Amino acid sequence: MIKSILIQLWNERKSVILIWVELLVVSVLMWYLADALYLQYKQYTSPVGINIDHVYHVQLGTVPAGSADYDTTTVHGSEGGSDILIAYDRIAHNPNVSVACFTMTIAFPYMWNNRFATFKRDTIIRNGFVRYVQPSYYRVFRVMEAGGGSPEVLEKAAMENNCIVTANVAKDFFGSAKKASHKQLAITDQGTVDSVMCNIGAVCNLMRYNEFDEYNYVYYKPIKIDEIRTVNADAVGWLPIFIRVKASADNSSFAENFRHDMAQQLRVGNIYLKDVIPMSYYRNEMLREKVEQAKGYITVIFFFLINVLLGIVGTFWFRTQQRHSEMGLRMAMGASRYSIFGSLLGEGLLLLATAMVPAIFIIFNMAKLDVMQITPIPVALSGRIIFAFLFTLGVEAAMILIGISFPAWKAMHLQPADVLHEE
Amino acid sequence: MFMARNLYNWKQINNSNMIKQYIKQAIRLLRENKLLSVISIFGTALAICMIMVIIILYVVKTAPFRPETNRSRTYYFTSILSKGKADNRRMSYGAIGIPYIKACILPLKSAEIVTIVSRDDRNKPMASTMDGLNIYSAVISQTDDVFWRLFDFDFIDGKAFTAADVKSEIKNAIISETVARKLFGTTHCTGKQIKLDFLNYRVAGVVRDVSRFADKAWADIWVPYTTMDSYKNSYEEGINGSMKCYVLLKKGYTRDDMHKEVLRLQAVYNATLKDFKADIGYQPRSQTEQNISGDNEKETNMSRMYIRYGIVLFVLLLVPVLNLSGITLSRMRRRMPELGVRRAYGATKWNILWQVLNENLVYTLIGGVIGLAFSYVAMFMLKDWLLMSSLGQAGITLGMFSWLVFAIAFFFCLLLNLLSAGIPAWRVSRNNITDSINS
Repeated sequence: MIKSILIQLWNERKSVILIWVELLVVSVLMWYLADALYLQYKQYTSPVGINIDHVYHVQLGTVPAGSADYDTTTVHGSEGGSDILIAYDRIAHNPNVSVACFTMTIAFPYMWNNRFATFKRDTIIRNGFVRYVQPSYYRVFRVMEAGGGSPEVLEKAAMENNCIVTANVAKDFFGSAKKASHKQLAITDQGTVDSVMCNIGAVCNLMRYNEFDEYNYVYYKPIKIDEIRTVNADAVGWLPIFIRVKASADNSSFAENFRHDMAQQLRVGNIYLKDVIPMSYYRNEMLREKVEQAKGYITVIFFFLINVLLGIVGTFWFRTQQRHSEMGLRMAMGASRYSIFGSLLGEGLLLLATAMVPAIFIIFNMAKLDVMQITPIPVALSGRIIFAFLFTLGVEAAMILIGISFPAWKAMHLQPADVLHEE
Repeated sequence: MFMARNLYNWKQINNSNMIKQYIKQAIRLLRENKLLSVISIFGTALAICMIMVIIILYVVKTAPFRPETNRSRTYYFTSILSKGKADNRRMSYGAIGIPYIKACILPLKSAEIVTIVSRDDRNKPMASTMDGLNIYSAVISQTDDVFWRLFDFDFIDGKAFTAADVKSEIKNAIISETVARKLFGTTHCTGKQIKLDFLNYRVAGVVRDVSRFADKAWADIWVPYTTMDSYKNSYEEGINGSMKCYVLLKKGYTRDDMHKEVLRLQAVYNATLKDFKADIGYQPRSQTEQNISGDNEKETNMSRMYIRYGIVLFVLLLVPVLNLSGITLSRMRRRMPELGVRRAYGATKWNILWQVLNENLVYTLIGGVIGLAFSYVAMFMLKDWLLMSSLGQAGITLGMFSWLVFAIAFFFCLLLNLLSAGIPAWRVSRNNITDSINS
């Protein structure tokens, strides 16, 4: 059966060659796009290292010196640090807030702000980032200890004025997270010349900027409350505050209500409450480009599929029309209506199968030439191949099924007598 | 003798009546096989739509339109790297400080206009009426007087702030139509007072809203940069800060002239610094380069990006072309006897080729018009799905309904036609006359 269809296709190669080439081209492109989508999905689902559910950024501002509302008394004018702490305390004591923390802008999650750091020990050198955070940061963003310990473990280590490093730093320099504990590591921060010996208090899970980024080498340094006391009120600009809200209190109107309730309380000296922004906002802003890219891929796949559908319908429409007499004859010789339908469908699927062979060969060569997408986090090759193969084959086969059904259905309702009569 | 006269006739008729005849015939054929006509027109429309969405997006991102009418001559300095003077260690990479701008960018002889702009999209201050009853969370652009010369804004009321305002830190604000309506319920509010966070400003003018596609000019409120303290912040001996510069290239100068000039000025500036040195990198960038690289440190690889665009367009054309050629070829096969008869009566191969291409062009053009209409619909309907960051809340402006876009659409229609009907036309025109008539 398959052999006879193949022979028939070969004999009519002039009329099917274009649709065959189209299937070949579409298979290659679909494979590429399906693979890219799969990779992005895999990146997206790998852990980021922090949890931002119920986390909000509480943005404080300072009244500018040129304003009529500006408080010039020395305590507020030049030593606003204690005002920042008063505001912070009021935020942290809000009954809906479970925990709050300061960070510096270079540690603002889902923002590209950073400060580089170079890690050195013996001959090993790694480049990464330094992040200043208050010890409660680990509870706000639910950062887990590398061995599975709770955020409190990290908080405790940080309170003892130790550094926290990510698991990849521990692994590269000391072999494992366990061995890294209480070891010393030389680190040079961006902008400084000398490296500083850093005592590793604990190791936390891997971190990355966002769902599509690679894992970074990071170390955390504690911010001490006493240091804030002496700064100027303008410092609120680079000391963002984050809060984790009790799950029971969090809803879509939380930010608005919080702002409404706290506006008065947070008007301290020259400080005021500017805005309350859910972390999901920053996350969406950062991921926007990647999400758009994925949507672009899906749109193009859709476009190709409609083209394949149109091409299949068009080609097979003509083929069945031109072969009416042949089909009439076959029916007259005892072929059932379903076997006519089946042989047409078989033709379509065989066309796809024969097009897939060179398509796989092309894909294989594209992969050798490094044309395929690459990702920051490696993904197992077998999974990629299986997904892309099944996706391409499955979706194209479905299109062929839909495209051929209509002409084939008409063909199977031919009256053999009529057709043969025409002949 | 008969043949010769006939050939002569063919040539004459060809010029005027034949094209009309082909079109008539094409429309007749359209009606005859409705399903195939729908398939080929829809296929064309889809291909043109897909390509046009890409082209329209490219055009709106790079071609000039109000208020960014000078895009072809505008160049951008958006970021700068500061390094340690002694050891080249990396200090900071980000927006530019006022001292550097004053030393290296404002004095550029190759620049006709240099405007200084700072806009923080993430940090939206509250704009409110003095009684605090009407509030609008607005994106503020801190800028100078020449900004209004570089960009061609449409003033509904009042006028732009002046150099004197910038110099004397006069709190004059230009607000957009939307902000004016939100705060005052009218667009005629010049002279009224507003509060931006805690600072009082006088409304100096109201401008018509700007599309978010005009990414450099766009904002809700524009104020002299000297009226907000943040402009004074500069780090690394004045290299880094919070400003960007948009520069209009003087006629007769090239981008390279400007690049070399800024490097010269930078060398002089660096010589005055103690611990740091500035590196402006490959800037200034053109509109297209800026669109691709943003504030990225690396040099923009233009040829690579054109190749990428080329491949994408080629692939998006290739699949429908294969598709449509298949259908056209089948259709032509059925008309073999007819074409054979025409050949027997003296039509040349070229006549046949020309006829097939012409007939097909009718389908392609119908498809093209539908496709272009589709692409506009798609831009409206899919703006949230496909293009959310580029369109933002603003939607699409009339800026993209340009002749350029129509011309490109027509070009792609011709290309699609030539490619998709070319192979079938060539094959049928070569066919043996007797075979054609017999088939």
